[in-house]
Amino acid sequence: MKKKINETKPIALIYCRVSSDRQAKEGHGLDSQEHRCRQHLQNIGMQADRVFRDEISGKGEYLLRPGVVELFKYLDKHPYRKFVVIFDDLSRFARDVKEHFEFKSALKNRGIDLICPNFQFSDTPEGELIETLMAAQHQYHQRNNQRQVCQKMRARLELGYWTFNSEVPGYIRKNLPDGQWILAKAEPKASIIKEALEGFASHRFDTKTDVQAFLQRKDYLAENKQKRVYLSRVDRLLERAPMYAGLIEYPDWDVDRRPGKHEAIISLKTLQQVEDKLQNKKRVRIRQDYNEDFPLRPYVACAGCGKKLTASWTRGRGGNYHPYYRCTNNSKICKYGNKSIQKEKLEMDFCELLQTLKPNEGLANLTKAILNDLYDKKHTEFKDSTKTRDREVKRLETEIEKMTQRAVNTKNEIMAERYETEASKLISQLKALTTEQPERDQFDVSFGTACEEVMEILNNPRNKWDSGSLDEKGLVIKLVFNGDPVYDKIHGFGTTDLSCAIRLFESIGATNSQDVEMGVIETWRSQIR
Amino acid sequence: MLSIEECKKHLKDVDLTDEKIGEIRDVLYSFAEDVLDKHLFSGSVSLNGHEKEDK
Repeated sequence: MKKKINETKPIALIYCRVSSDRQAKEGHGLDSQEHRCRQHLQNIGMQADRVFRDEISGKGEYLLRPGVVELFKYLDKHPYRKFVVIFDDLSRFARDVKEHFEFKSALKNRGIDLICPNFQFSDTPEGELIETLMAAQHQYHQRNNQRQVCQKMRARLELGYWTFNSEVPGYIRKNLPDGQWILAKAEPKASIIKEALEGFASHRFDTKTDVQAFLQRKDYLAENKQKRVYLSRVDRLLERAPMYAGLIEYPDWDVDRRPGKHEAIISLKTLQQVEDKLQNKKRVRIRQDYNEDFPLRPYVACAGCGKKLTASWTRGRGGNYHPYYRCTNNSKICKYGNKSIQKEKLEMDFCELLQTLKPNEGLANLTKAILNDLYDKKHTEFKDSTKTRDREVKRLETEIEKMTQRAVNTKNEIMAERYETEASKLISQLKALTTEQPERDQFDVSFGTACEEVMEILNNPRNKWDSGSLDEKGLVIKLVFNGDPVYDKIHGFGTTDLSCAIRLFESIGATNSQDVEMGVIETWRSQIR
Repeated sequence: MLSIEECKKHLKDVDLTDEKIGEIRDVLYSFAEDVLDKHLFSGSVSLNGHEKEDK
């Protein structure tokens, strides 16, 4: 079928664009562009039908600009009307040559002609050459400008000033007399961040989740009018620890760590502790009061006073020893103070609680999606960790070789003995390092095994509690409870301390729990990327 | 990290606020990361406080 061709005068649509706030305020503003386009249309006897505006560049993708999307929608909605699109300057059209011709081609395919007050489009080879040169010139200016801005920002970073516009919690921008700005502490957030980071460093907050709970309690996001502090915010806080210690670094631009000009919120010692803790997650860390006889001792708190229960074997009248948990608070302070709880009763109550927890398909699916999402992150961490280990192995091998050579070459027996002792120490370190973590090709296998364990605990926490190691029992507690479980000598464990995820377990029930368990675990390995 | 919307899709017909879904997501991420770290980095998870060295 032949398209209906409209022979009437074309309708003009104005397109204006700025790519920064500065441009918007200066002479390149949207209003100025629109005004010049209207003037030009008047001169050629046309009138504008609609104006499409963009305040972002689209970063080389014209289809990311909302104004362009709106323009195309409008054009496609009126396929039989004849339009022309006018824009103020060729540089407003696109930011590079590729984008220029793609955008132009998308308009031409819709039968749209282009008008620019300071450029005459022509389909001749000479016209195309000039247009290409003009687009290339704008691309050059744009890139050159970008390079200059980056160079200035990098120089500023190298001098110890933070230069990016994004907000840094705990700091505000303070203007300097030379027109530049510096980060200055902003209360109360700065103090909250200090306490959070120091708490993480000193193990007052052992995990990121503990820091998260602390920030939540302190209403950390009150200023942002947000209630919930998500874990990702804690991650960002920990990543920024060097900045909070008064340092500046920006590895993407090869700016090494150096003293910054802004005021520190935490000490360098705290920073070191935070970084050590983040890097040493591979180590076994365990409470000193861990004991196979009392697996709940590190966690369970007394319902009377909130203090953690202690536990021990107590000698009875007949000389036999009996295991008990108890609150060590004075009976005047706590109604359960100094009262013993039989180990068997407390642990049975706990197991009964676990027994009632049944999984739900949606939650299992979400967990699986989270594991998939973590694959890339963990793979990168694993590679980095392997690289660090390889470097350390190489260093140790060189040192061992050096010590051995010295031991062989020296004629002094005492020195030879010292070199040998030193070499032995290094060999032990090397041995520990090479047996420490799975090899690269084992990553997927270990990842798969870990995923299976996640699903096992999720689907049957009671089973994991009965058969797992102390560490695994700790994981069960972490999943099931929001913080430490609280035990009441009379009423047992309440449900108020259950984590939100576990509450979701309960509310749905156990109608298809077995299906979920088997389905997920059996298909897991095949789904590892 | 999965967005709240992505989490909703996996949880299907559960009627929860975005805030609650965010909490569930955080619990599961934290838990999953601990188990993964235990397997991938050979040691064990940090359960609290002090480090056990070669005991």
